[in-house]
Amino acid sequence: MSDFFNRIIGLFLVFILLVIAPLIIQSLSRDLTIKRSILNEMTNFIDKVTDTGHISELDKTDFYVGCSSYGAVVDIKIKRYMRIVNPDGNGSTYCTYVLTDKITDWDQGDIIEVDVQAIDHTTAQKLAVYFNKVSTPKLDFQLAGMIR
Amino acid sequence: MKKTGIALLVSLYYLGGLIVFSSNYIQKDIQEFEQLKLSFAVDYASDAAICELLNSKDLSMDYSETNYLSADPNLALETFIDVFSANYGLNFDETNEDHIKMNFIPAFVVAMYDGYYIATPTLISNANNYPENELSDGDWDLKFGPKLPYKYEYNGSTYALNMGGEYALKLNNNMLSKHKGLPPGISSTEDNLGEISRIISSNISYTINKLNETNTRWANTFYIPRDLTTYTGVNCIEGPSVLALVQNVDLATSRPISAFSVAGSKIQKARMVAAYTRDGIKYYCYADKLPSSINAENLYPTIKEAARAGYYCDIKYME
Repeated sequence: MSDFFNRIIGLFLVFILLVIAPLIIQSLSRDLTIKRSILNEMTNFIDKVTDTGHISELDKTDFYVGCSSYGAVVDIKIKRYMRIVNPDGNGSTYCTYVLTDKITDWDQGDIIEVDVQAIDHTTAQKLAVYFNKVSTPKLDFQLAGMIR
Repeated sequence: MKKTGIALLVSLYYLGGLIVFSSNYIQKDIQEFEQLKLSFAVDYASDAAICELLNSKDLSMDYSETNYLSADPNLALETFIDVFSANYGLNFDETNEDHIKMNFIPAFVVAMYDGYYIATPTLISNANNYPENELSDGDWDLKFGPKLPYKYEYNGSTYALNMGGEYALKLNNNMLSKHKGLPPGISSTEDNLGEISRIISSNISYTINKLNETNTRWANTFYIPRDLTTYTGVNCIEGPSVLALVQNVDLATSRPISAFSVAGSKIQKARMVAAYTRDGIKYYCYADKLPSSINAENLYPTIKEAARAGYYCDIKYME
């Protein structure tokens, strides 16, 4: 009788090791590629904006499509922190940044912050939660540069 | 029965291994990714810092000393912190600024033509006048010290180097003089810049050690970036630069990570383009290649601008 149970457990383990394990490993490495690729898209975009000081509709579409083409559905925010320099009353000045919605034309010294947030967990994250009970946060990262 | 048991045990081991592997892999993945992101963040921040430095109003540049410029290093540091904050989605407020300054930046260097500024955490006011307790009391801030010369010693004489290498200041027996050319022991401009890089990196090490003298938790270990050593044969300092050392960043990872970045600038002499009319055709060529028999009508900073003004490339003199 116990032999029968052993076989059932064995079958279950074989299924996990032969089907689930490769799936987990494959999706983990895919996750890594997705994150790195999105980061590359972000650096390309920031480099472009910091050099030209301008974002056209085409640039934005290009960037959105680029980020979404790696398999993760992401929500992208482009934030413009406009540099404001005011007198501080002591004969000197202080610098501060104001978040603004106008992101077409940028001025020198403005900071561009690109925020990428995944809408859902990736396959690897879901599998990790399901099988290993390891929970990791959704993709959410920023990168910023200053307009030259 | 026994065989099935063994097979089951082996499978269980494999399963355990798989769980350990994937959790480990996820941790490593986060760590690696954050490391990459941090290096981008530090690069962007130091790029912004050097840009801000070069954009300041008065760089005191002139034609007699190539690479010479002077600017306020505090501008660079402020911009570095602002852009670094934005890279982690932090607000631009004093609390975050202080947190970054005091916890992540052990040294920030602005290397100029004839000297460098180094910013390290400094006690700016004591909580008690006596006894002083540097470990926990008082207010700390990341402050630049006075400008330090690139001090180089050879045969009992002390030299103050500069990035141009056309001269060095020599101090010997309380006599200060101007030494023409590179000082003895330094044979080329590359060596000169390598020596400057070595001076800066050894001062960074010294300052960090000194800073942690009274720190009982200090393990005497910190990360010296490979880029700062001259052993690799690659020198990171070519002109006025910003060197940012960022350590123990724990904003996104459980284990602190570190990064280093150098942002450099290079001052180039513009090669003017002369525009003239030869045989009834409007031509341009580099001003230094123009024969003395031809008079230039106009001068342009780039060949593109000369072309835009309707002049054609004169292959005869451009070659």
